[in-house]
Amino acid sequence: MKHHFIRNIRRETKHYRWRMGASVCFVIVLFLVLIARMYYLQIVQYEKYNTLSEKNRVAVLPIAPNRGLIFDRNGVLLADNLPTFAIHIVPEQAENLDETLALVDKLIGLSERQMTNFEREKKRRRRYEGVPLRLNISEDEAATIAVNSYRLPGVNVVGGLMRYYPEGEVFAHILGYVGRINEQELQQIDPARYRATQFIGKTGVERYYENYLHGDIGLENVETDVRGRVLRVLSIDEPVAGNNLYLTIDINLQKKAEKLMENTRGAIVAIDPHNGAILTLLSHPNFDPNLFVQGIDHESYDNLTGDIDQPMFNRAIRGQYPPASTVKPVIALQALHKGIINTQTSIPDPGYFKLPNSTHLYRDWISEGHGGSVNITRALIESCDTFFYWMGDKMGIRNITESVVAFGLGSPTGVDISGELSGLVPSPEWKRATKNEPWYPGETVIASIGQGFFIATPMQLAHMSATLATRGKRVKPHVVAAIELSNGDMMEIETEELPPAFKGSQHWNTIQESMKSVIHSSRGTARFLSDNPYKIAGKTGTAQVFSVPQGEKYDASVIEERLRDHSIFIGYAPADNPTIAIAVIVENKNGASRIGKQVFDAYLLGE
Amino acid sequence: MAILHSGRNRETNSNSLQKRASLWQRLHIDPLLLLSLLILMGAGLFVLVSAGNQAAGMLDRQLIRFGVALLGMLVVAQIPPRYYKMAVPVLFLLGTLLLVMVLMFGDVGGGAQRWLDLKIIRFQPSEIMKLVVPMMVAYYFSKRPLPCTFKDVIISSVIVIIPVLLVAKQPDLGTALLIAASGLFVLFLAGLPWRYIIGMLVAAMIAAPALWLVMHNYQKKRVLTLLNPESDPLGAGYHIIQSKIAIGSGGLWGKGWFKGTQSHLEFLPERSTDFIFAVLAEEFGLVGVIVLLSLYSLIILRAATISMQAQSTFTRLLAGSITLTFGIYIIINIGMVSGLFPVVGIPLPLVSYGGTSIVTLLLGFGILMSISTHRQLVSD
Repeated sequence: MKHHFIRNIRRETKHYRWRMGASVCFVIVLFLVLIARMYYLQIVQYEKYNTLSEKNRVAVLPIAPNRGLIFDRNGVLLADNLPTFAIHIVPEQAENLDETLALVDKLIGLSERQMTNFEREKKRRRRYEGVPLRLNISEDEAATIAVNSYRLPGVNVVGGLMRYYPEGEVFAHILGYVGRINEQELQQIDPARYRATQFIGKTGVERYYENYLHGDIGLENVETDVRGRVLRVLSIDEPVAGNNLYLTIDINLQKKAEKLMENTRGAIVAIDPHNGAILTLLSHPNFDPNLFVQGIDHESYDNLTGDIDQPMFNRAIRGQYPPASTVKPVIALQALHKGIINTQTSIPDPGYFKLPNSTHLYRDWISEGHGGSVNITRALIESCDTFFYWMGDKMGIRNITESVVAFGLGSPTGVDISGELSGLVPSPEWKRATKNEPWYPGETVIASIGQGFFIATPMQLAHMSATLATRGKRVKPHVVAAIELSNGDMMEIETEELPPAFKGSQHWNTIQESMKSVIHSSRGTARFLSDNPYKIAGKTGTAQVFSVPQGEKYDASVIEERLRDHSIFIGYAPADNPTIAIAVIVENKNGASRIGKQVFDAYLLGE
Repeated sequence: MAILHSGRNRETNSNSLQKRASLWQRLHIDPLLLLSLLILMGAGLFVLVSAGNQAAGMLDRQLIRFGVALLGMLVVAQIPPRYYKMAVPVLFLLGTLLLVMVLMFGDVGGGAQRWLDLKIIRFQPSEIMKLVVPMMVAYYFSKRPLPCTFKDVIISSVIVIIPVLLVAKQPDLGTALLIAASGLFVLFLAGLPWRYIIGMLVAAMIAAPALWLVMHNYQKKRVLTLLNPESDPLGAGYHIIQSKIAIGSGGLWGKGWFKGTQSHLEFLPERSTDFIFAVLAEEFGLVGVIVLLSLYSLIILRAATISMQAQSTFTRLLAGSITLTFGIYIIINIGMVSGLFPVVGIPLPLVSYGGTSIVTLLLGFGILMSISTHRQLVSD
């Protein structure tokens, strides 16, 4: 013991016992306070709490917000909400859920899909909340359920709203569609916000603008009886409807585009080059989005996905095609800009190009060639491949890549429709990384006419066309013009400027004049389009699907339909003051430039 | 007289060591304490079966936990208190070090850093500190003459406040509160002069607004919710509203075992853990509540008796603190469930489903048994 003191054990013990005794008494007193509290809750207020517990369970019911509507630029309704009836089951109220479900099946029929949906929805509901079993039932079915309600405890017919697309397939690839929330989406959404919501945007604008369209959930405090039936509403926190959207699309132009693409596979994208507003966006064939709202049945779904024409495939933003000769103006601009050629530079065209020390012939689309002296202007107007082979070899792949990247190829345009793909601009680095192979000079040669590994979406080509129209000023394309806020104000989508391409270059005139001559000169590849009161500037292209063996000639009549060349057209009009820029792709047949012109006519002349 | 008295006590007890209580004494078991603990735990399981609503494995896991904890209690009871006393400073330093490590490397669970992963086992050092902190303060006072001086108060307060702050920082307000209480009980039992007690109370009242400023948002919300549960009926207030409905609707006799609608229809949250008292009150009514509190009182009275009969300063202060902390546990939990206190995560001792607190509580009772059965062999 290092402490030298004498403990007064007697005093210490006495002191301790006093304090400990007092403390224990205090604890016991607090216990009595707790018992008094219990007496107050369980005896004095018994009636109140018993009522709350047994007779009137207070329930908070969520109310789904109305989804925002979607209109075209003139206010024509494109996505509506229609009132429907649905059958909901409160599992807690059904005395025997399996029996109840069997009886509902007997009365109005239930599909397997509806059953699995029901099981999934059941898991994310709170107790005493209705779980949707069948949506969009007919009035007869609703009546059948109502008549049998005494045998169906917990089964309710509930009114609700369902998405409806009055224009059907014409807007399918712009709007996309809504569908029931699936497991994967369940992980990503805020469960509190979506507690009453059954539908979510799956593709297109519906998906891209989901946050605006959805709105805010409402809550309703209700008193319910033992079986969960609502006795009275205590208070309501009203839901806030989703924002309405106004598109940049004009429904008449869109319908015209649909008609032009009849019996055709392909896509049309038209843009206002000054503000990026998309005037029409069509992928054909298309599908009826209304099928997906109620949950499409297996047979129809298999028919859609199994269709060789792929109506579900959004060619406008996901179709990736070789841009072919449509990139020639861009590559020409780079060559002029970098001083690799000038407007006087000309070469003879024997109908083919040959790399030094190689026997391989890169053939022009005209087998006998374009004549003794082809310069850049002629090469663009007549789409002379030989000139571009030669020039591409001279300028190198890096120059080609640099120019098309400046016009936005190789990366998504950022258009506000979900699912856009980025295409591909090949480069030696890309080839090394993905194929572990070196870049061959021959690949530069075919890249210079937009073939080879080169791919781009119609969206990107339309954007490129718009940039050619504005002499390098680039704006982000968008399909939504304005969002209507809940207070009624319109929030306009602002024009988003992108880094310009070849801004202020002195060679723009050469390129634009050449593109104009493609239509309006006697040798232009699209001279048959020149019968109109305004001027068009454009460039045609032919994308190879099937490569013709060395020494053979392409002959459409002997090649299987699906392997025939795609025709492509980019252009803008009026040529001197463009208000519309376009890209058209027609799969496996000619006619892209004619369709492009007809869209111009419709937009500029109102035909 | 008192000396004579205790001397005689010692004599009769040493006689009894050889005759009456030979078996229990040799096993180092306090039969009355053990019996009341077993009854309480049995009754708790009864409630848990209903609260868990036949959740698979819940009963088994709780039984295993009880088994392990009881075994630990019996082992702890075999070790004479003087060994604990010897080990205390090391245990305290080690515990504090572990708390620091938790803050630095601990695993985050439920938004707070409480767990330390030692590869083999994961545990909460803060739980152990519920025993080590009162031991350390008792150890300190066993080296000092009593009643304590101002210097003693300061030093012992520092011993308490360091681990409390470390635990509060995790943040685990409930455990910090219990550790603080267990340490302050020792201080009080050691004879903290009343003027300090009053001074502390005044200081606490002044500090309350300052505390409000450093509290986490969720803690503030709990306090506000307590004052007006209806203000947030879907969020924090939901627990309290539903818990009060469960208790109140139980009435005098309760709705019967397995017949509590509040708990079985899942209106009641956390019904097998922190809010298990509401299940008991709903299904067994006021009568059940009184039976439960009587069982608790029995344990507390027996534990208090052990502490009063303890012969050294260290053992009696420690025993007293363990006893009172057990009481405070009960009061805070029931007060919380019935809407008297804010919701702090403190389980109903030995009834709530859940691991760590059961082990710590029974180890504490093991120490009490050790103190009770090693009495004659101890000299300070």
